Amino acid sequence: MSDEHAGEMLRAIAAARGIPLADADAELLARRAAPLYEEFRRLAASLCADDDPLAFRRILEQEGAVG
Amino acid sequence: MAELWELSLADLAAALGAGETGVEDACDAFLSRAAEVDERVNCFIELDAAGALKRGRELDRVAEAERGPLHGVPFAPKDIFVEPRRPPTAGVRHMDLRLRARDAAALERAEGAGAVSLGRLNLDPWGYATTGANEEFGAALNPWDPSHLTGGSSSGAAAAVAARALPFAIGGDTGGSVRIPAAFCGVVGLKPTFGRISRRGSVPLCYSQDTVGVLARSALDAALVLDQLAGFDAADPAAINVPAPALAARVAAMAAGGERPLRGLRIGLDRVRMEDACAAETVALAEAALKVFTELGAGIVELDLTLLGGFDVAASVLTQAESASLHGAAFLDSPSRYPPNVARRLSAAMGCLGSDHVDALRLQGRALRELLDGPLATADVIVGPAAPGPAPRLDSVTDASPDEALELSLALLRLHRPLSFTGVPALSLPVGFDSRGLPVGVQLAARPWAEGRLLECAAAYQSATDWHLRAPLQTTDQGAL
Repeated sequence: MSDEHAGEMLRAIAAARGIPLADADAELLARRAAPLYEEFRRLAASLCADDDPLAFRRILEQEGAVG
Repeated sequence: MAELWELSLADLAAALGAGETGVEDACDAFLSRAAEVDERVNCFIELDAAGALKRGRELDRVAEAERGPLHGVPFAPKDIFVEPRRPPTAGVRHMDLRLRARDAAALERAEGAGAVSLGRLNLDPWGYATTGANEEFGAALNPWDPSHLTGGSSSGAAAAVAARALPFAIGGDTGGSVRIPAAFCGVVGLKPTFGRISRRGSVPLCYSQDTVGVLARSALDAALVLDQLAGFDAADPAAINVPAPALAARVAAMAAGGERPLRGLRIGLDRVRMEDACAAETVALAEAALKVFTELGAGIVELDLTLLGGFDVAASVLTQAESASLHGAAFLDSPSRYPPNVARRLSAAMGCLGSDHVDALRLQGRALRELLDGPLATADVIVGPAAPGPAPRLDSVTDASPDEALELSLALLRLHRPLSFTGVPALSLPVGFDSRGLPVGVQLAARPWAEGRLLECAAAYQSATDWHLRAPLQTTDQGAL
């Protein structure tokens, strides 16, 4: 997503939530956040449908049971 | 005889147990030292001399058979824990997060074991940075050189323990907040397994990664504290019902030294990652520490820890999502109440979607599985850097732009956050001093619930070295600092 489109999306989200966000601020925020979210989207795309948000805790419990 | 405040937790507990000193006297000695140290390095938000001495007198009347394992040992918590009549500041003057709990499990357990709180320790505002800078309460300063940062967010805790104002402190670690200041101040900092110590009654930052940690001078001292703080608490939704460890005897055996006590232990290292992240002098000190580990019998296994980079990205999104839940409304209402570098992070956090949060949680389980099936199947303990170098100068934050200050925090977080994300225990171990006399640390990590392995490893190292015995802010012959 380009900075311009990311800025537009942020403005839309902000407007929907009643958050005042100037155009310039939206694009600055989008530029700052873009690298992190680009990498995060790549990671998230590698998830399988059954990668469950509760698995983390279950693995910790299993490790604790093994001792 | 050494001053009481010079004694380690283990030695002080032994002296108190043998009746060589009373609790009130011990508290008085540490309070005097703490007041002197605080004047230099601003590590306390509040010293409660009257309360500590009163508690000391009460404990002096407790029958020997009823004394706890930490009987009479002074300590203090990072100011994120609630007490019945005192809400925490969380490092800000107007802390307005409401807490349902009326008491903090970690303080209850420490005090139940006989420890005496001397006050409250300084921290980064909201625990949401890693430098120790704090415009409202003033920065905690590094006792080895007050022109340098302590690291954070458990800044006052690390400074106070390093300067012998306390035998131990209780901190909180979401992405390195115990381990980073421990490395910069030259003390042991333990982030236990997620769910090991109850967080009830503490100010949260990221529910899915917050842990309560321990700062102490030595691995043995940290083990003595962990034994008391650990244990299931149904009132903490993150608590996992794994039997509390009894590590002190095992760790004491390691601390006593021996013939190749680490034989058979596989220590994993990603040299490329370490050399990419760290200054040459820090790498050299880490390599020297590895040599000590091999002399103690451990073997070195070369690892590729590239996967930790992805974990850091996901951890960052997870922290953003949950901190936005906590602070978003207040931040939008009055952004100027937040320090600029925290405001930068909260601004970014406000763009985090609900689906990002769920994806980050889904990645958390997968990341732990990958770590267990990969690096932690090949190695028993992973060793890596605890910071890119020694503590930067204070003005590298105070005179920096918010973006520069944020970048410094992020460089530190990258080394710690991946391990927080996976919930594994990790320990910051001092391994020497740079050419300017500032401490340098490495970080050890192991499988979930293997705090004992980390502490044994660190204790064996400390049996062969004396870095942990060196102290800043020594007194002159006239008794002045």
